[in-house]
Amino acid sequence: MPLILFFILLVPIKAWSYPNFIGKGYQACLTCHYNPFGNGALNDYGRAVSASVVADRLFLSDSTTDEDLGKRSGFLFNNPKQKWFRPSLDYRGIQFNQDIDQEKPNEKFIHMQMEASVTLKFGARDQYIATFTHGIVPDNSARPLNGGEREELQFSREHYIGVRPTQALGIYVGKMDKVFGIRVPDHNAFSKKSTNLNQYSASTGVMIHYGKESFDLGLQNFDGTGHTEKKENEQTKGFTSRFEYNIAGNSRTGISYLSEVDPNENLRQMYALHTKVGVGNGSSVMFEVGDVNYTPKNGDTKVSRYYFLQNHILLRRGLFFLTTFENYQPDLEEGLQYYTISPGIQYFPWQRFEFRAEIVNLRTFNDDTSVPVDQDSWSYIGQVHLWF
Amino acid sequence: MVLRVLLIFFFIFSSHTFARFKKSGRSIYLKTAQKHYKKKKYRKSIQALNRIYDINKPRKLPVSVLNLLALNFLKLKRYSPASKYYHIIIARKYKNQHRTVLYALDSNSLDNIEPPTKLLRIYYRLGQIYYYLYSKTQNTAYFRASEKYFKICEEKEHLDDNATEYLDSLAAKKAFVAKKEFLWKWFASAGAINWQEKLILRDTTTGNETKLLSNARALCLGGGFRYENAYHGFEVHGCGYNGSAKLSASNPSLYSQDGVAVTGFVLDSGYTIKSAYEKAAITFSLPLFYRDGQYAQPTNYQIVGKGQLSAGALIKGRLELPIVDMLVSVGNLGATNLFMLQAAYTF
Repeated sequence: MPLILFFILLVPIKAWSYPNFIGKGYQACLTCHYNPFGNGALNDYGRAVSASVVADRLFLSDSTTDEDLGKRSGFLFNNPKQKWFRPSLDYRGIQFNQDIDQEKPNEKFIHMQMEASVTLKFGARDQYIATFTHGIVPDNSARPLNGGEREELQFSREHYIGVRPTQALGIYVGKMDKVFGIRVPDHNAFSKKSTNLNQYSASTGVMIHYGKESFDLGLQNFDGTGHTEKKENEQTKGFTSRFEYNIAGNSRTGISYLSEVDPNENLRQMYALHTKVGVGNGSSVMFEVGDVNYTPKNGDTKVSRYYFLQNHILLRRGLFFLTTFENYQPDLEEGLQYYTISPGIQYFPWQRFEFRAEIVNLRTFNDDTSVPVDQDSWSYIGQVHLWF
Repeated sequence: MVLRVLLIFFFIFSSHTFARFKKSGRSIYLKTAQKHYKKKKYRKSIQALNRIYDINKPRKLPVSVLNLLALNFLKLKRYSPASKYYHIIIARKYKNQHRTVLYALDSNSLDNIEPPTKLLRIYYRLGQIYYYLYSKTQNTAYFRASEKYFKICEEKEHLDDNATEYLDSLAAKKAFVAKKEFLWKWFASAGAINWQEKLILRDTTTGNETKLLSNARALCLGGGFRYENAYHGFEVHGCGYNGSAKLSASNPSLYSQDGVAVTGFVLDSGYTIKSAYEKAAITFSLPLFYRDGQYAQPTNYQIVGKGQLSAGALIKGRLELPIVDMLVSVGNLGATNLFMLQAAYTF
């Protein structure tokens, strides 16, 4: 059943930055993350924001102020005494129930993220940083690599050093995620699946970030050759870039371009246009459309297109109602299209804890009358995220 | 003659004595009333004044009595009489100055005048009176009056810190009241609608039935209204659509057709909860969904459910973007799954 295969392939995909916090006015990722394009470890400010602005105050008395929470937001509830050493731990588990409208849903629990990070930072402006993140994927949650068995995977999720000679300019060298589009924490988003920007896509290279209040520019060359956590066709090398600009109000609009070749000289070129808009005081809408041109060696180019639209409605502090709407055309020359709509909730009941639950409705449109109409698929995706 | 003169003297003397006696009696009662006021015995203070003055005829009362009465009634939270007494004082004693102040306020030239301190004290009290009346009634006339008097006090630096606090509180109260006010809002909508439904292909000769699945996409135009305040409300929304569908049996060789014209409407009405953080809402509604498809029917076959009406449940997210609202809806109507992505313009 192609749909089942399709969803199974979708599962182990990541990105755990929260670009929807543009709703709170956070337009630039660097405000809360060491990585200027989001993802990875949170900086001190990001930790304090997650404790005092993002998370609900469930079970907290009024005598505990948001300032107190901010001070306790360091590693293992501490307020760090020194300035240069910042450890952190992250865990994310996902419950995935496919075909919940059927008698026997296909259930799976995945340990998606088990990571330990250390960030070292120096300088008056913290302009020198070094970050190391070690990831573990247990065998039951790992994907079989190159036709083999599922095996426990231990690997460096990311490791890089960064220098910011000026406030605006940063140069980063090492293993990092590729800069492209909106980094959303959606494991089943077509914008992640079709672009191959999954949890194993971090590659070694050099990234230059130039950003001011109204814009961010990223240029990155990368080489994933020899990374054992990747499948062979994921060990790509190439170049990627993204430019994002504040055109009006509390919003950011950007374009991205990525070009890469795998060891078999298959070429992938991708373009994307995205926008993020803050609505009210905490809600947001994010939109991304992208084309992926895949040209196999000595083959014809196939163009696929995805649309991603997600809104977050902040109902109360820490609690979002979100709806994700997607469209994916695997080949623009064919009449096959997938639509998904995923209503759900995302809740941060207290700092260091996130719960998210979504119902995903997948619908397939195929112009080919020799192919039957597929019945809608309903799935449940629930996840918990802990960070210390 | 002597008797006449004596009689005249007697009358003059006695009326003078009586007047003095009455005046000193009033003074005693006024002092008593003031003592009661200082001891926070406001009712007794009013009673003391009522013994010697007819407080129901305030226009004949001295200013000092009017002032004390106004203070007592203010403390007793009887704002209407308090306001009345203060306005009589203004009319009697500060008529011209009051006009000048109001004119200066309107023309933003309060800096150029120097109202009497006693008048400013009255303004401050009137600001308080109308503040409480507005809090109680939410009548905007009281809001404007209170704002006016506190603005004068603030500008003329009479208890200006307190006046500023009152003004801030008034603004907050006004915003709160505005948030609670239910308003009718009309909107037009346009967008895409997309659904899957089940139909049946019936062999009219044998009666055998084959299940069909249909996927359809359409453009939906319509509108609706909302009756809501900043926290919650109701919404009725309808749109008519025109689009195309593909339907087939699980074995397409039995039946398969693409590009079938479908028309119909969606009507949903429901309860809206608005985000405490503004400009966003979710609506839980009960939709009615009618569709009619021009499906081809092979000879001796009939498609059951070509035109059908369904009801179910729908959840809708709405975000108020700068020009239009974005609506994302997903619903289940029995065998039909529906989702819509629309833009709405609120008039």
